[in-house]
Amino acid sequence: MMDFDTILDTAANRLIGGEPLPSILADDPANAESLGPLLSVAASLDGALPVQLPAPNQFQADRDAFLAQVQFLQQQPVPVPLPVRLKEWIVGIFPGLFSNRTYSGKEHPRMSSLLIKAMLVFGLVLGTTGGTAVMAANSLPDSPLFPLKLSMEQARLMVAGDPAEQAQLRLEMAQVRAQEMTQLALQGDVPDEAVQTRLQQQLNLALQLAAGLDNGQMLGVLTQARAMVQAQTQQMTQAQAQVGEPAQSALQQATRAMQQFGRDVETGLADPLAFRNRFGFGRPADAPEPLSPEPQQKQQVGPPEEAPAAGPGPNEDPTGPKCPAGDCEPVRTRQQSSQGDELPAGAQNQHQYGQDAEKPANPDCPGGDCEPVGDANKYGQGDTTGGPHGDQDCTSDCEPAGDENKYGQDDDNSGGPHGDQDCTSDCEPVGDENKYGQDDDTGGPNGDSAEEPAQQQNKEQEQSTQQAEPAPQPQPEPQPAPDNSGSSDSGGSSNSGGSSDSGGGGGGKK
Amino acid sequence: MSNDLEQARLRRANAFDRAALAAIYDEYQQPIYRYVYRNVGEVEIARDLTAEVFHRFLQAIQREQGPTRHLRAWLYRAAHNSVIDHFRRQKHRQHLPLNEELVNTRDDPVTLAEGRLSAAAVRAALQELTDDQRQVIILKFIEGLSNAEAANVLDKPIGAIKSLQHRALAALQRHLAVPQQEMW
Repeated sequence: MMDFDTILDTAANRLIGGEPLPSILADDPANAESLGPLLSVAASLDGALPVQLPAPNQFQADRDAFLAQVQFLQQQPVPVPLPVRLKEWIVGIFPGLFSNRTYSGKEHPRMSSLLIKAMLVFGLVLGTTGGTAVMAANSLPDSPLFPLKLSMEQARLMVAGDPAEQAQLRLEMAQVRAQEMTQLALQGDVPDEAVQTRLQQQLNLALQLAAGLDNGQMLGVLTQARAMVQAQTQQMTQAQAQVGEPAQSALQQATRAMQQFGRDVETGLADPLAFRNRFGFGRPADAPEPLSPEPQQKQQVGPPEEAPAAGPGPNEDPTGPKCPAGDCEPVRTRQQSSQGDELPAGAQNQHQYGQDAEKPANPDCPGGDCEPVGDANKYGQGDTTGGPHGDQDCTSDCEPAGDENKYGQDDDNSGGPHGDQDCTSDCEPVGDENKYGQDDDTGGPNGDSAEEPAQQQNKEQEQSTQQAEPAPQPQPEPQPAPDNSGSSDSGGSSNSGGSSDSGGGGGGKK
Repeated sequence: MSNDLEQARLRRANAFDRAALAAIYDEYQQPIYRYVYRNVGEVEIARDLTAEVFHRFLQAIQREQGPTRHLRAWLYRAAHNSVIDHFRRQKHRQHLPLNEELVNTRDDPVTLAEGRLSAAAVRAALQELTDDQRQVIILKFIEGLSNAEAANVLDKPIGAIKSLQHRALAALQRHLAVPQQEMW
């Protein structure tokens, strides 16, 4: 059964065809009542909208214009638009992709063709972006895409929120940097300084990040770092044999950096605590705090203007320790922490938490038999050295003071002559049992030395120096008398405070 | 014109044959003009839009995207789009100009009654229709296009054309009923 739309359409077509309305309605009496008003309206439309035609000459003018356009376009080269050319190119490669139908049937392109074009553009953009990213990931520092590679790495770091993951990423980046250097060298290029700097940066950052992790994560990262170091060191060593001199030097430098990194990693695996203290950004919660000895607190007691700057005391050779025989061990070799690579090889000791590196230690131990001071000093001291030191004039068998002093002492105490200062032979130093430092406001003569003026002490010191050194030595320029409160740890006395490792006057034991 | 002849003429037109293009213009210029005029109601605008339709036709041929069949539907669709563009440019709908010319009368009573309808009433009633309904009425009952051609012009299926035709006639009947009663 036909719906009413079709019935009406059939009747309307008959009306348009010229049939009279009554006959149309008579042929369909069942729907005549419904069809009648509608067809009447439709019949009224014929001629209801008359058209005002233009003048004939206007028609002719329009026709001439059209034919002129035809002639003009006939002479124009046919510009093939880019989408059409692209479509022809694609059809040439994939003949079945598009239908061969060229007739659109409508003026506007169909939505399907628009969708296909949009998909093609989308695919091209995605493909181009992905291809660029892949090419950048494999680029070397001499490639224009290398900055993009670094940016992508930074983006990975930003996404990684876990410090352990960041440490592993840093390790990966260090490995990539090392591989880039090797590849550059094998290509005949010389890795420049920026490449090596990037490698060193990644290694340092990996260590610092690892030092901030808990024990389990840190050991995991360090183990991974050890494997990376072994692999990359081996690769760079092999590459060194295959490249020329400039690149070889760069690879050697990188290998040394990698080996140093490996040593640091081994340190971390062997002694995580020391590793944390050395490389950590901040001390982890489980890392023990270094003891805060009393002298460090008292270091701030003295007026700042009275504390001389770091450097030798009045009777001290500013150029370095006086160890003529060469047997005495410099105190600085005792340092382990906070000086790091400055230490000579084999300088292992018990000093763990560092001290001032600028202090000349045990400067006047001329005999060579004296045992250095501060052997057991573990927690360092301040660094405002100045003034005469203990054991400064110890020329023979006297044992330096401060052997048992473990917690340092103040810096600003005792600027005058100190204990054991005049001990030239068998005198026993004072303050042997002083272990925990002393007050620091005492700046007068200390220890075995009587309360003598500073100038007299200087003379005695000069005499002792002459005894220790038979050969005539040029006299040092006269030094100003030390201020009573000027000396620091390097000049402590028995009464005024425990000696430091660099030659305190007290605490010596025979 | 038979389908084969039209196809042959279109092939020549797509090859920029001047004679074929002139023949097409002569055949379709006035119908297109009337269609446009019934939509815009002004001679000069109708002339411009008609010229624009044939200009689009030439551009499509130049881009090798011209019609290869259903030329009349293609031209009416181009005219329809030109009218829409015109109204978009105008930013407002232009009411068709009033024309007090009465419709032709016929002998039968129904036709005589219909003859009382004024062109103004029809135009006013047409303005109350939706765009699609109005286009179906104009294309089919005034321009004489078939359902298939109207469907091609309006890019709708034939069933939709029939439904639009039904609703348009019903709406016209409602809008014309009051004036008819007043006139009677």
